[in-house]
Amino acid sequence: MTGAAAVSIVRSSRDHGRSPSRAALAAVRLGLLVALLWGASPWLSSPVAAAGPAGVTEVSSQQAMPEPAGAAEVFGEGEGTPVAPEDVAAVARELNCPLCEGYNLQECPLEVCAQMRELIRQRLAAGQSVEQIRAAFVEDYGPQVLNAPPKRGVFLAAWVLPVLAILLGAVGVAAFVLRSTREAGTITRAHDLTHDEREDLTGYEQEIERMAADDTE
Amino acid sequence: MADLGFVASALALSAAVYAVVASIVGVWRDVGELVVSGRRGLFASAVLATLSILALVYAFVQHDFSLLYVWRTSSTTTPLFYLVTGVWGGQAGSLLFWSWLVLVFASVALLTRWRADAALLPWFTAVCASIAAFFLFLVVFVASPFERLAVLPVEGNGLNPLLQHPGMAFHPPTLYLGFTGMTIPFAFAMAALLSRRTDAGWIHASRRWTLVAWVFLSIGLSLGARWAYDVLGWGGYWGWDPVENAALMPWIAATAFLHSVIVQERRGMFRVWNMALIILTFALVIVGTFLTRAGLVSSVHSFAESDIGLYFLLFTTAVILGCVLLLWSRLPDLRSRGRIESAFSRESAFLANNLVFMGALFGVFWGTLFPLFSEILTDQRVTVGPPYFNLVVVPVFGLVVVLMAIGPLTTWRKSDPRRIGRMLLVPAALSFATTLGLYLAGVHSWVALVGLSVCVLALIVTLQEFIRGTRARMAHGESPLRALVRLVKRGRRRYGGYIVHIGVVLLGIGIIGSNVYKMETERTLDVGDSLRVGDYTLTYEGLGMAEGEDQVTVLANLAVSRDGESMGTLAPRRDFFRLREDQPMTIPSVMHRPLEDLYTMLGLYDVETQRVTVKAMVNPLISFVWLGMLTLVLGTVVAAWPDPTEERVLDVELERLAGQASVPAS
Repeated sequence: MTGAAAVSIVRSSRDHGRSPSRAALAAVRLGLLVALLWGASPWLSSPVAAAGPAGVTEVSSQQAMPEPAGAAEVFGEGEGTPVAPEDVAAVARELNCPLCEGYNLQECPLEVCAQMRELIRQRLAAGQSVEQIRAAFVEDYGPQVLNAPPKRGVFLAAWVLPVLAILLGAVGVAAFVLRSTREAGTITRAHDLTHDEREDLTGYEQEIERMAADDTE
Repeated sequence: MADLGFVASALALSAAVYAVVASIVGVWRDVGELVVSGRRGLFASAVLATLSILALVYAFVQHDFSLLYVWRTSSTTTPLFYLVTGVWGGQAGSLLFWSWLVLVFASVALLTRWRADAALLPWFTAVCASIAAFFLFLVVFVASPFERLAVLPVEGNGLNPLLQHPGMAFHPPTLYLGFTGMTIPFAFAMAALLSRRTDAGWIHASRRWTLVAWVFLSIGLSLGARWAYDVLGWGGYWGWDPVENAALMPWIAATAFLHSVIVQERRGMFRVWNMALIILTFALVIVGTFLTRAGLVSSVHSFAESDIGLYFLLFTTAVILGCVLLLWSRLPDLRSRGRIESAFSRESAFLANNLVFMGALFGVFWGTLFPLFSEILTDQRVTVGPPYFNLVVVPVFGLVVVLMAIGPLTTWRKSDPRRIGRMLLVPAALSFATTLGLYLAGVHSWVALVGLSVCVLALIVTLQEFIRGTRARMAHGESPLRALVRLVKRGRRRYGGYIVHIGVVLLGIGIIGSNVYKMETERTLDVGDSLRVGDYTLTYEGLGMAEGEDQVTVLANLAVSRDGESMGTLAPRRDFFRLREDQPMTIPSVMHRPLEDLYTMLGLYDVETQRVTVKAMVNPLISFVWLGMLTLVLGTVVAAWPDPTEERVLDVELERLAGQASVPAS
């Protein structure tokens, strides 16, 4: 994969252009940018590392993403104490991809997210706590970067209300059953039993046997 | 042709409106001809909507890019199959598809049940036609798939590559079948309230429809899960995404309804509650369509965005308000005919079931809409994702499985707790033994141990029910197989339901295995390097590249071996579509094995040095997820399969009820 074909497939745009002309313009601009960067660095075969669209540049301006200078840096063969991939994953899984909605940082296939995972690894290696890293992400991207709201303040409602609702429902159901059984106790037991109810009184096994007898006749 | 399609959709709208007016006036003034005419109006609307759909299919097949909708979702290189599925690939088309399905379902229901429920059907026609009319209104006035472009492009925009997968071709239509199918029981319920014939007639008329709609919802959810696993490339199958939740919520409400309706049929109780449940189910269907198609909460599914949100909001509010008021005004008709006589009874088991399902529903609802509330109240938009749902909702589903272990052992009216205890003895012992075995085998996660022991308990209780029944029949000299088959045949609903329970248990086992014991590694590899995940060694053999007409593919060749034994190769890849280069796809490569999947994904790659990052995971027991879903569908088919004997019994019952209805209910 070389030259123009590669360039044209390699860019990454988050801009879902509505009108074809806007999209085309954006494509040309991006193509140029990518071609420039392509020339500058042999590394740029991966789509997002090539930067370009608004969302991504924003990220790099906040220095959440290392400059695409060399493979080692992006792939993160680096300094500090070794960090288990599982530890990085545990942090990343509870953060959202700030670019595409619906993916978490661990699952997101975008390269930016791979680089953010690398950032987490570096911070862990530098001895930062999980809470510090999360706080840094919240500072950079706002609270929606967290995968679930914090369990305090107003946001506690998110966690507690469903549990309260179920407990309340359970109390309601129990009260209903108690009242109903009490009322049932006072009415006469003389029922005009339907076929189904008879089945339950005689026992389901007997019912099956009766059906089996029907079938064998 | 496209103009014909538009005219047909506009005429379908008029016919639907006519059907509403004619049916209501007909039944109001007691003019039989008008009622019949209203019914014909609905048929006409169905035919016209069909024509409109066909015109749209034609436009797709002919590559009529003068239509904005066709231009946006297809291109000349789109395969024929995806041209046809393009009809529901975007917002405008899926709204037309929605209304078409409602009309077709309503027509079928009218044709098959016209004689039996003459009093309900005019109202049924009116309700169905007004729902279809709302969607047709959107199609004609707000988001028409027949809208023209000012210029005539030579090439289309192409279908979103994410959607070019067989799973995605069938996932939306099956979900829509489920969604629209739920309008039938809802319409019967409303017809019952409006005509004040609130006996069990509407339940009998709509019982099978509810099951059919439910099974389509289940299939739709399953296909969506499978699609996410195969295509989205994050190694999971359910992400608690708002749109997934939107489809799950009506499913939960309908499941609660399917259970509590049994109590009404058997004991004449919960009559208001069942009405409330079917209204809730339908309201959630509308909200679900709203979430999916109007992008109320943004998510990975936000393929469709537009300004029809306001119309949906108005319609949803109108439906909920109207239904609640109607139900309120009919409360005296719906007095319960029975009482719960004992806290230990099947009635209270079903109550517990409903409580738990409502709890799960509320948990999902609250989590899905919390970002919205939070934004309104605190001006801060938060994300509510898997950590919330796993902690708050999943344990509630665990309770569902616990109830599955107890519910089938209860009897109506009054159960003997000691008898239930006795019947639980063997399953509990077996479940305990299994759990102990698992512990000794190295399973130490308490979530997995508790979850699996509950699953095993429910599984054995359910199997025990089959064994008990089969034994009883074998006592009459039937061979075991014959006894089992006949047992199921004579009690389709009961045993079909139990098969569904088995499916849910298998699903539960799969979910526990694939979440608690998932192994995951990510490594950067040069050619010749290898990576270990679980018992597998993956050796990277180099990049491959393929250039197709539509896309360029980059793939990493990985040789898989286990204990030094070669097991073949995997090739996770990334696809870059020419027409949608902004959305490269990460397509995982998976080795499916009976007890676990080896799942690999290609991350970063460098063409020059051939260096790549590969993510590999082992997903244990994931085959149980698919197996469970299949079993669940199979069980529902068994339960819903038409049964002549049962039909006869129901008809007799209906006549009896019709006789009662002339006498006001006590």
